[in-house]
Parts: sequence; structure tokens; C-alpha cells
Amino acid sequence: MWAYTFRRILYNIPIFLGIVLLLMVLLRVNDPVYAQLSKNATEVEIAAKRVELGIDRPLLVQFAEFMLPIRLDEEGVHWTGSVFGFDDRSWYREDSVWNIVRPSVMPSLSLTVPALILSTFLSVAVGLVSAANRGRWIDRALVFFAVIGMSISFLVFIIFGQYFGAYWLTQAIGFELFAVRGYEAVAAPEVLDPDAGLTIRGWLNRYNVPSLLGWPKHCLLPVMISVIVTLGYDTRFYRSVIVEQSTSDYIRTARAKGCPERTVLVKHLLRNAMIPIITRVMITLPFVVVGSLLLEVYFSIPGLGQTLFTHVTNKDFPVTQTIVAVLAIIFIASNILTDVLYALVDPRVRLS
Amino acid sequence: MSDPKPTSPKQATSADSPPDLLAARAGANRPKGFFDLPGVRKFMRNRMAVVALAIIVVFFATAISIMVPPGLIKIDAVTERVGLSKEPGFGRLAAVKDRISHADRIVSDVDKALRTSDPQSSLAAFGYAERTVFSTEPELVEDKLGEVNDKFDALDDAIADYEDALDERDAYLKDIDAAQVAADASELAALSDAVDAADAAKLAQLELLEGEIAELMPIPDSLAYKLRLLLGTDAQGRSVFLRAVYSIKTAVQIGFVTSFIAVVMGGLLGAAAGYFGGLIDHAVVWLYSTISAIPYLIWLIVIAFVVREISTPDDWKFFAGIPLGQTLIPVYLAFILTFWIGPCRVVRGEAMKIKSLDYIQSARSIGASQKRILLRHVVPNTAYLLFINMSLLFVGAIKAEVILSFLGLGVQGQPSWGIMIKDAKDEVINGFFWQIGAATAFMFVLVLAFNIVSDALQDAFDPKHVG
Amino acid sequence: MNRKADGMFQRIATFLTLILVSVAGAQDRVVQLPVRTDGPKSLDPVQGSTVYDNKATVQMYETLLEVAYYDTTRFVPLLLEDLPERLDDGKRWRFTLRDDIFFIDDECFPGGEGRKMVTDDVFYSWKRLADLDNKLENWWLLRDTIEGLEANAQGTKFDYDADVAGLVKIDDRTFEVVLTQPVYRFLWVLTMFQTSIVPHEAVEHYGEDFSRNPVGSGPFVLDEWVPKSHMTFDRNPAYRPMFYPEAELWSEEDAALGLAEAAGTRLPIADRLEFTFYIEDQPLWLEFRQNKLGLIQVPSAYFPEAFSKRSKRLSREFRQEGITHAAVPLLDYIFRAFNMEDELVGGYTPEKKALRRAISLAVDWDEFNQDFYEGLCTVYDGVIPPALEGHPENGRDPRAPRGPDIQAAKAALVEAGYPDGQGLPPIRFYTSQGGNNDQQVEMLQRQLSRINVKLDPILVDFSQLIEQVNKRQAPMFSFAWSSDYPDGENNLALFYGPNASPGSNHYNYNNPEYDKLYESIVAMEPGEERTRIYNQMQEMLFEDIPAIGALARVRYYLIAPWLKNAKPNERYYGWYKMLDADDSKR
Repeated sequence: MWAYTFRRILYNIPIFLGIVLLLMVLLRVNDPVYAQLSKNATEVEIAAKRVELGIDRPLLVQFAEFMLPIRLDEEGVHWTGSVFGFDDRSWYREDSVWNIVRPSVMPSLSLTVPALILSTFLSVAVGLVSAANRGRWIDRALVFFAVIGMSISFLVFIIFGQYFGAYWLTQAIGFELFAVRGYEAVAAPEVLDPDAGLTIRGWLNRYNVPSLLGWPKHCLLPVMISVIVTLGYDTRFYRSVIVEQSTSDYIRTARAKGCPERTVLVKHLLRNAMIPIITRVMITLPFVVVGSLLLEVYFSIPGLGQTLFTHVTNKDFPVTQTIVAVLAIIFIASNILTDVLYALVDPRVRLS
Repeated sequence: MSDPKPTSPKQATSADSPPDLLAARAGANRPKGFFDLPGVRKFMRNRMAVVALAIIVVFFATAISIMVPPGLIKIDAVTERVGLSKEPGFGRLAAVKDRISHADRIVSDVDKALRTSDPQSSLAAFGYAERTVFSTEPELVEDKLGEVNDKFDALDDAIADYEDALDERDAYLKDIDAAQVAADASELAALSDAVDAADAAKLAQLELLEGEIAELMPIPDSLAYKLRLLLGTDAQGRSVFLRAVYSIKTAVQIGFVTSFIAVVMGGLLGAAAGYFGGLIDHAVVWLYSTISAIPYLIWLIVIAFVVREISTPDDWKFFAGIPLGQTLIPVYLAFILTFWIGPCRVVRGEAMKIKSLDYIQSARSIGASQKRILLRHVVPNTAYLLFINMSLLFVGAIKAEVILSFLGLGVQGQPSWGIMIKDAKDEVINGFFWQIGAATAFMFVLVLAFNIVSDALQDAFDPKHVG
Repeated sequence: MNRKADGMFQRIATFLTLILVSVAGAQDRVVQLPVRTDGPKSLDPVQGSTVYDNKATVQMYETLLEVAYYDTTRFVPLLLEDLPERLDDGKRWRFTLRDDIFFIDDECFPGGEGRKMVTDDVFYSWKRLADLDNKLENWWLLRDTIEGLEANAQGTKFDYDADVAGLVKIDDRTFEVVLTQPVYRFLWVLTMFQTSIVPHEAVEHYGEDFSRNPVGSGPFVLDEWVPKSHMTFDRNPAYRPMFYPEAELWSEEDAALGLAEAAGTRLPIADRLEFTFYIEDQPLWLEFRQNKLGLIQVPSAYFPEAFSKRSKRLSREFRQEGITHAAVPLLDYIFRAFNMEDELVGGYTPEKKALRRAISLAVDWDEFNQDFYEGLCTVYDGVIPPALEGHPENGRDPRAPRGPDIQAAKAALVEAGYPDGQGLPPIRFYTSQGGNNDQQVEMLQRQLSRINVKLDPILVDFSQLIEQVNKRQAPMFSFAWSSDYPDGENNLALFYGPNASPGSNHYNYNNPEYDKLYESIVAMEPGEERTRIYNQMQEMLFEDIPAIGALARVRYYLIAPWLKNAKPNERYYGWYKMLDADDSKR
């Protein structure tokens, strides 16, 4: 087992290196220097800037410095030589990369995790209903709605969702059920025990954890919009998984030996359909971290998607590289985890 | 998990020449026609899919007729002002407030033409498409303008009266509230009647004004003009209908080019990887694992941004004399570089399976070259997969274009549904839904049709797919 | 009872309360304001450049002078006892600091107690502008201004201890500044937030993190800053006695709006400021409509919602709610420019002038104004924004090539040797992307197509636009200039030969006669003679047409019924300390 895990890790190293290298190459197609300088920069200033940013050096040197805890150049002030550049200075905002990335993660998660859970449960349920009534009008209607949901742009859902869900609804019922925008982090009173070093308040604030009471007001609406959008895709997928399972022999056997329909569906079918369901969730998992850019922009949720977009379009290499490297690690880790889980369940996998 | 099922229609037929789209079209070794293929027949039985296919054909035909010179709709027609800002479609009346500003706009535009060095020819040149000033004689127009302005003054008075009436009623209600006595029903009714009367008077005055305006700049009766105003106008007074129709071209162009190239590229790489295995396989798998590790929206943003912003060398900036940013190339590249992965994965798996099948083994044993086997047997056998993938990617491209355009990284220099949605995003609150509605509706129809067709294709051709 | 378990229990209990209760402390006077961006980039004055940096920084740091709240064409002392004393015909100025200025308490000071501000702090803060380590972002403000103040050379450290000839310390509160030449604008520079006074202890203590740990002397202190989300400030409890402008300083209209009522109140009036950041207009507008924001600049798409487009009057519905509005004319010069060195559109021969005149006559600024700015801008001839000396009456100057005049444009095109546009290749037109610039370009193309002039539009990132313009590679481009100080001289300098690219003369306009006139007005006091020269200079520009213009924006603000003392302006943002919230009207 350990050998297998080790093999998987080894296998994924070149993929990780590839992601970071590919991104670094892509970013460097354009010269970032002008974005950093004021209107009236001279040639000398431009050259000096290039040295300062450390982009005058060969790409591989920059790559090595980014990946390893070493510092190959004492001149530049921006690259500190920390692994994955967490301590580097951002080129766009006067701050370190870590300070920019850290508070963005929780807001993203507070949207995507509930959305993933909700949409998985809902779509499995709808898929089950649909599959159980396969070919009947209810199945057709559900499939048709799923396709309709898939055919409208996410952006349109957001624009109308915000208008009707937050603004119009508040006007109509005279009570603010959903806020138009915003994000409420836990703001705790100064308490807590001084021996602990890092206080809970400090911890919660550092990571921008959402407050429990503020969450429904600020995040529930975007979560619902996101669920509605993904529901179409997921329902169709789970429906076909379930239908496929329901035509297999063991179900037929179960039915033949007189199991009640409910037991067949829940006990036999759903349990076996778990593998593709878990696979799909596992595949989606890393994408959960990056959040939903459009939702974050419209609902002013200070998440990672927004952060990444701002820093990409402002040619801020350090932040972009670090975020992408972290995403890659999460992706690869969840990949390896999936593989290992499979191997645990099904010993045949280990041999291939 | 996904062992090939012997019951699939594909393997039920003769071993050395399985039925598939491409081979069948080429007529290779098959006596029967294209429409007799079991998959095709199954597809044709699905009535909804056939309708959807017809819709797609209509969209494609429209796109081609726009693209091929002389072109059904020229780009100039799409950018031309055909009316006032944000006119509603289907001849509906705008809100009172907007009707006033529309009238005001016409007055100030005509006035501007009158004040140039040569008013006569300025008046002749001025107009919203075919809607022109009733006369090019400056004196006549001047007179008419005077009449219009009189009506405007009357309207302003009417509005003031109306607001006074409202104020009076509100003041009364407030007094009652303060004094905490019951309202005198008759007095309140009288005040409300006064409000209604003033409102009616205001509307009547507005209609009089619009009557004058219609004389100043008569609305043409021609069908061509009506058609252009069918879905209203955008903030610049351009025809929403024409822009939405023209966007079909943009969408089909983007969808077709990117899905086609992505499928060809992914298909070839996947087939080669699956068939040859070894180093090639490792390289291809490494490449797509690398790219798919990062959410595709991020790659899209990075690639689109990088290509649009390319700063050196200078000649890169231009493509056939057009600045790179103004072409669709950045969008194409962003989509192709992320989209090829899907077909590549699928085809690779399929090719690995096909490789071990008997007829390939026998082809190899009779000495067919590797290239021949790959191109004649492996690739054609995955054709249905490629076709399904292409229709999925087509939809993906159209939808992704909206997001990119919203972020300012998408289409430039021509209308697209994404651009229309982006332009309209702040109009929704003002209750102006025409532009966003038109773009969404057009896109919806095409995407829905594609979704239905690709479902039906999967039903018909993919043995593993369950409908 | 086990004490350890007890402590544990308590800890869990507090943790639960923490999670459940999100506290927004019951403060008495909180003013909520929007910032239309993802927030400031830095709170270090010398690194600030954007309006957003400005809005945040001035709440905590102060400058020697500030723009007067009641009249933005004047400045008043802020850290000074009085206005500076003019010596040697404006070449030397004497300043005296107030005696009661203290920096806020902060760990960077010995004992954590804020100390008094002294002359050395002023010199130190100005020198920071010249320090290469601070990226020289704002060095242009003081470059070639103070005798002996130079930026350090590449690769060297700035020597803060070295004497500068132009900075003469008399005692801890008094000092003199010697200028290289009497520059009228120097005092205006001292109102700009980049010249705020900072304590050297904080810069040294926090190092790179100084940009996030402001230590100032201003009316507010930073409470919390969550980038992309919000920023909050609390009142500086130790703020020196400063007061709301006296009643007699206010004009009659302002007094009628109730602005003089708070006269003499101690500043800051609000206990807390809350900035929220908005990237999209829709949420901004919706939140204002929910009465959650004190004032907003009306996004142009929402203007027809609140105002009658025709009369520019606030609609009755809004008036009923108690919302008021303010129109703020900006000192704007928005134009389309030519590179006078370009082979196709540049040059000073009659044909080239005719070509530029033709293009200028075909451009309909009014249409831009109507469609993109809801008709809120002022279209004007010349280069001097409204309300300044030298601005033509009603914005119209008969000598100017004002469009649209298609017939005249066509005639000019014939003169230029391109009858009906024949033989004229497409003109490359550069503009920055973002906003509705793509739509604006389409409109410009449409307007020019009426005289058969074609454009090759190139939309680039703003930094690239600047790069192209600085390299003199853009034949035609779109730009805007906001006056640094309310004087037409600032705009006339844009056409001064020695300022050519990469200086601010992006047109590379070169006219020796013009330059001579410009040199004569730099040190001239305002007056009739100067205005006459302004006029003369503008005539040269009408003749040569290096730029097509112009447009000046008028910003409309809506003010919530509960916000008091608001008189929006975009010249400076130190006036947030004057704001007050009346919670009974929420």
C-alpha cells in the first residue's frame, strides 16, 4: 500500500513542476515592468525595475528560486527565497503574498463548500427520482429543466438572482433576508486567554472566517444561485449513473428475489452508485478552493477567485504563481487520495 | 469499470469494418446509405432532436450568410444608430420618464444640426437610419422646433401641476397623521381625484408633444425599419435585433473554430497516445494532467489575458493588418488550449481498447503500416465520440465567451452575446430587459438545441450511454 | 471542582459566543461610505497614487495645508499655525507648525506614546519622496522644485541626514523652504496627500509593513482593513482641537443646505468611518437604495433612475425620501490627441492642419456626452476646464474647430488632399481598455465614417497605452487630464515643448512662440494680463489642433437623508472628518 502511494506521489511530481513552469512561461510572455512604473519612467528606471523584480534572470533560475527554499540573488527585493514564494512581496498591493492569500481562502470556501454539499445531495436526490421514473413524464420534465438550466449563462443567473433575490425581495417583504453584497467575518470581542499565544479572535480574523449569523444573509443567496446552475449538470450525470446501475444484474437479482423497491433503490443501488458519486465530488474538490469568480465579484465576497483575477490582470507574478502552485498541490493531493482510496477498495487497481 | 460491452451495436457487425459515421459517409465497404445506419435511424426517431438539429442548421445558415460577402448584415449596420437610447421592443411604450428624455434628445439633436455652418446639408445628413427630419429647409424645421418647444413648456407645467397635486395630498395625509384623526373620506377622494386628473393631463400633454415630434421626425413605415426596432435599441441607439442576429455569426465562428480544432487536436493526440503508448502516451498524459489540474476558467483568463496583451515584438500585435486584440484569435487560443483535453482523454481510452481488438490485430498481421492502422481504423472508430465532444465543446465555447467578455478579455470590435450581456448588466435595475433578454434568448435557443442534439447523439451512438 | 476543566469549559463557552455573535459594537455616529474599487493599494503616502489611496490615507495622515471645505479653489492651514509667509517674491517661504500636533500612540515610539510633530518630520517626509527605495512614484510633485533636493542615484542609499540647501530649519516649529524658482503651484502641492507628514520611527519600525500600519496625526485611526472587502476607522481620541468651518465662511447656497449649522463643532464629528469596496455598480446602487450608504457618486447607468435627464432635477420619489444631491464639476480635460511628430497626422503644414481640422469637425462630443455620460458632462472648446480663468464663455469659442459640422469637415478634407477620404490610410487609434471604452471607440469610428476617415483602433492596457504614447508611437490616442490645481496653467503646460514625451506633452507639440508665452506665465500672478495670454495660447492650439476636445465631467452625488454636512468634492478627501450621521433619519 505504501509503495503504491509513494509511486503515485512520484508520478505526480512532474505534473506539479509542469503546472508551475507552464504558468511562469505564460506570464512572462508579456513584460510586466510598465505596469509597475509611473507615467514618466526613463530607460534607466525600467532596467532598474527589471533587476528589482528579478525578471532579468534566466527563467530556470527564477523557477528554482520559486520552488526551493533558496535565494539565488541578493539584489531583488521581491523574491525572498521562501518555498512557493509565500513571503515574497506582491507587485500590486503593498503586502506579502501570504497576507494576501490567507484571508481570501475562507470566504471562497464559505461559498463553495456549502454549494458543493447542497448540489450533490439535491442532484443525487433528483437523479434518483428521475431514474426511478425513467421514461415517464416526471423524468422527462426533470431532464428538460436540467437542460434548460444548462442553457442559460451563469452571468444572467447572477444578475437576475441578485436583483430579485436580494433587492426586490427585500423591498417586497420589508425585511432584509439576503444582503445585496458583503461578507461578514467573525468579529469577536477581546477575550481569551493570554497563555495560548495566538488568540481565537486572532485566528478567526487572520483567516477571515465567516460569522455564523452573517453567513445566511450574505452567502446563502450566492450559494443558491451556484446550486441552481450546477444542478442541471449534476442531475444529468447522477441520473445516468443511477440508470446504468439499475440495469445491472445485481439489481435485477435483488428485484427478482422480491426486495421492496425502496430497499433496492436505497440499499443496493445507491450504495453501488457511491463510487462514481464520490469520484465526481473528489474531482470537484480542488476547484472548490478557487471559488467562483463571478459570484465573488457581484456579491463582494473577498475570495480567492477575485484575488487571483485582480492579480493576474495587474501582472502581479508573485501572487499568481503562489496561488496556482497551491491549487496544483491541492489538486494533486486529492488525486492521490482518490487513487489510494480506490486501491483500498479494489485491490485490482494496485496492480495496474 | 468500463469494459466494452459485447452487446453494443458497433461490434455486432462485421469485424473488419465497423459501422461509423466517417466510414459510412465515405461509403467504404458498406452497401447501405447513411440514413440506414442504426445510430442515425435511432437519432432520426427522436423528434425533438430533429427539431433541434433544424434549429442549429438555421443558425449556421444565418452565420454563413453573414460571413460570406456581400453579407446579410454588414458590421456598419450593426453599429449604426437606428433610434433613441434604450427604446423598448415590439413597439411598446417606454416609461414616461424615458419618453420625455427621448423627445428631449430629438430636439437637441435637430437643434445641433441646425447650428452647423451648413444647416441644410446637415439636416439632410442627420437621422436615425431612415428616420429623418421631415424637411431639410432650416426655416421650416426651425418653426417646427419652436412648436415642439412650446409643447415641452406645456408639459413641464403639467408635470409641475401633477407634483403639486401629489404634494397637496401628501401634506394632507401627513397632517392627519400628526393630528391622529380619521381622514375625511370626501376630502381625500377630492385630493386623489386631483392627482389622477393632473396625471392624466400630464400624459395627454406628453402625447401632444410626441405627436409634434412624430411630425418633426416621422417614424418610417417600412418593414426594414420596423424590423430593426423589433427588439428595441441599446444605450447607443443601435438595433438590439441586428446585434443579436449578428452575434450568431460570432458565436458560430467561435464555437465552430474552437471545437473543431480542439477536437482534431485532442483526437489525434489521444489516438496517438492510446495506440502507441510508451513515451508518447506519457508525454500526452503529462500535458493534459498538467493543464487540467488548474480550473479551466483560470487558464482561460491567463491565456486570453496574455495573448491580448502581447507587447513584444511589435509585429506580433497584428494579424493580417488587424491588431491581434481586435481579432478573435486570443479567444480561439484560450479555448483551444483548454478544450482539447476532453476529447483527448476520451479518445485515448477508446484507442487503447480498440488496439486490443481482433480486427486491429489481424490488420497488423497482414502488414498494414502503423500510420494506416491509426488513421484508417483507430481514428474512424472514435469518430462518434469526437462528434459528441465537438457539440459539447461548441456549447462550452459559447458560454465561456460570455464570461470572458464580461471580464473584458473576450470579443472586441464586433457584437457578441457576451458583449451584449456585459453592456446590459447595469440596465436590469432600471427595468430595461430588452438587450440582456435578447442576447440570453438567442443564446438559449442555440445552446438548448445543441444540448438536445448531443444527448440524442449519445443515445444513438454511444453504447455506454443510458438515456 | 477541577480548575482545569472549569477553564476548559469557559474557553469553549467563549468560543461559542464568539462564533455566534458577530459584533458591530453599538457606536453612536457611524458614517458608511462606498469606495468604487477593490480598495487602496498602500497606506503609505509616498506610495499612494490612486484616488482610493487618497481617500484612505488622508483620514490618518495630514498635510501642511488643506483645500478649504467651503471653497475648493482655496487652501487653508492644516498642520500650520497660519498660511506660509511669502519671502523674496515667492522664492522663499516660511512655515510655522502648530504647537499641539501629536502622532497617535503606537508601539514604534519609545514607551508606545505618540510624540509631538517637529520640523524634522516635515523634512524627513519630503525627502522620502526623493528616495529611490520608495519607487519615486510621486517624486514628480517636488522634482526641480526645492533647492538642492535631488533623488539618489541608482544603487545608492538615500542619505536622510545630509543637508539640503533649500530646507532651512529655524527651530522645532519654524522652517523655511527655498525654491529653485518661484513656482506658484508649490503651495498646492503641499495640499496633496502624498506630501503628508509621517514619523520616521514608524517607517523604521515597520519597514515594508509600514504601508499597512499607519501612524499619523489625523482625525481617524485605522481599525481594520480587509482588502477587497472593507476598511474601518475610529475617531482619534487625542486629535488636537480642530473645528468645523465658521458660519460666515459658507456661501449663502451652502448655508441654505444646512452646511453651516455645524460651525464650530469639534472635529472629527463622526465616531467611526466605514468604507466598503465595490467592483460592480449594481450592488453599489442597490445598497444605497437600501439606505446603507451615506453618499454615492451616481453611476451613469443609474442616472435616469434618480434624475430627470432633461432638467437634471432629482426625481420626486427621491426627494420625498429626503435624499439630496450635489453636482460636482471636475477640473477635467478629456480629449483625443494627435502625435504631432507622426508622419500621417502630425506636422505643421497647411494640409496637415486641415486634416486634423477635418477630423476635429467630424467628432461629435455631444453624442458621447449624451450616450455615455447621460448628458452630464460639459463639452467645451480649448484646453481650460470650466470655472477656471481662460475657459471660454459657455464653453464655446468661435475660433475652435467644434464638431459636428460634416460639410466643413469634408471641405477641410479636400484642403488636406484627401477629397472624400480618398487616399487616406486608416489612422491607428490607441485607447485603454476597460469601462465602456470599447463602445466609445465604436462611436468614434461611426462618427468619422461620415467623412470616410477610417480608424484602426487598438485597445490596450492603460500602462501599455502610456508606453506607446511615451515612445511617440501612437498617431492618435485618447487621454484625459485632471488638473492638479485649479489654474489653467496646469493644462497649458501640456503643450509646452520641453515637456514632450515622455513628459506630459504627449502630443509632442512644439511651437517656440507658444513656449515663450508659457514661460512668461509660470510665475505670473493671476490677473487680466495673464488671462489674455492664456487666450492667446489657446488660439495657437485652435490653429494647430494637436488635440480634439474637450469634455469635462460633472459628477452627480446622491446624499442619504441621514448624512449631515456633506458637500462632496473630488479635490481632496479630508472632509470626511466633517461628516455626521443622524440616526433618527435612517
